[in-house]
Amino acid sequence: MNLYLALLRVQFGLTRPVWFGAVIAVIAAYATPHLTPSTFGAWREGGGDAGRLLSLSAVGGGILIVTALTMAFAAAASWAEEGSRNRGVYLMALPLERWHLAALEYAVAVTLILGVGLAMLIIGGAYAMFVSLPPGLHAYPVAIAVRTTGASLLVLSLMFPLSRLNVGAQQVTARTTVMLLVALAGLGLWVLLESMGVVSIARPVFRWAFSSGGPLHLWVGSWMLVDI
Amino acid sequence: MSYAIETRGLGRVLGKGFELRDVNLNVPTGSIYGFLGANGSGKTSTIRCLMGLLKASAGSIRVLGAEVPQQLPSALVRVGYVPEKLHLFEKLTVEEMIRFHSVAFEARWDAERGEALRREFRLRPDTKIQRLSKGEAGKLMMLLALAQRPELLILDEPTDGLDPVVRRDVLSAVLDYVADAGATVFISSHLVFELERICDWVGVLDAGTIVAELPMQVFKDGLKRLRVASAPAQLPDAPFVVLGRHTTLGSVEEWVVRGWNPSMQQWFDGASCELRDVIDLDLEEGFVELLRAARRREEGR
Repeated sequence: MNLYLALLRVQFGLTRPVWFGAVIAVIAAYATPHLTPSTFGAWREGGGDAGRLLSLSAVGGGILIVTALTMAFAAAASWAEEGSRNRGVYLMALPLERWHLAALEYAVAVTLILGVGLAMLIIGGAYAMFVSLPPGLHAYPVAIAVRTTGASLLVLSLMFPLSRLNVGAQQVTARTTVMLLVALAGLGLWVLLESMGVVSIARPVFRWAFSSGGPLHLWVGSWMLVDI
Repeated sequence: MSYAIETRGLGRVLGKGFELRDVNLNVPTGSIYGFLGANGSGKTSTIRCLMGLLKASAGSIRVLGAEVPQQLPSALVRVGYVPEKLHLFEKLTVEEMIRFHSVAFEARWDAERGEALRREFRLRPDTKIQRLSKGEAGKLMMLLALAQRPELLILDEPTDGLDPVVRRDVLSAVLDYVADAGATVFISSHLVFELERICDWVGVLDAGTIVAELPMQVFKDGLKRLRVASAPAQLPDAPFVVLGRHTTLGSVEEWVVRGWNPSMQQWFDGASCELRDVIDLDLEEGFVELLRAARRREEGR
């Protein structure tokens, strides 16, 4: 067993509730439209309303958005929790270059998210195979699994460097708190200035970030589990 | 003489009004070096600098010939480290933690020694680390450090808070390993009596500065309490270092000195004072007087 596998095993053991929770959330997202009391079994019997199924599928999509965000934050935060204290000390005392340790931690986080993505693919595939949908509607298990996994990895990649900022610092908690407060104060000032019309940065920034080719483009578009 | 640890002018600001200043350590290869200091003197921070956990703001560090932090991994692979506080994955079992550590130090891991120590320390493999007592956790950390066959053991207060039986077990394991592998041990503690028994070198840190570094035997042999009658106010040419002096009865003073040897009795004849008595001091008394003297010097600046 190499260190990557050992670290993967350890990290999976420590954050198991997150990954099992994510898989349960995926199952819930697919099941939600079918378990609603008013619609239970209706589509299977051919009497369902396609419009109602689509609107309930949007709820399932919302669950996936939350799941993608939760996985990313949990994966990044689990490495940041202690910085150079406690188990952070243990990891930093291993005979590895800092970049090597960070790369291992990132690879482990990516692997765990990909694992949920794979589970999602299997659950979605089974859904597409075994659930009867009203005529004209289709499940897109591959597309939604790729979108959820990709969106989660994207947020992880943005959050992970932040989680490493405190490594090596003496006062991890104090420094993190100061950084968060400065970030929040900056955000508050920005919102204030935007609302007063003093600056107008938000709209162009968001347009750029979410437009085709932008870094957050993956997050826009369809999160429907079932679509026409 | 070669050194397992060498620092030159090591410095690091640690908080308001407290810093490591010009720390020069010379830990001879193969020695058991006791790193003494009161609580809060900067011992743990110095060790964290040696381990690359804290970045020094001044000076240089060499551990087993490797520059820290530039060549840190090549040093760390040969260093067994037991920090002051439990630093392991608390949700893992003893067996899982040992397995993880053996992978991280694969090239040097001595599985046989690890298993022998686990049995000797009576650690159950299926016990979760968070359920271990303080003594058991200390033993597990020592097991991990020893089974990776280190050339240098860096132990930060490894027996602090442990009961005498566990303390003895842990130190015995260290001494057995040193006898077997000839490793260097750098052990920090404020338990002076403990270091007195096992160390052959001693370094004393106070308020972030090294105030003494010498062979344990020299430190112990030369430390005396002298009873002196009619002592002069100034001692410009004394061949020993007076760490402290105070009046007891009448004109009799008690001096705590370092660097004493019996031939120095002649000096008292020339200094027109009378040496009444020479009393051995144990390391703890010497340590206390050394710190008092260092603090007086610091206050006098």
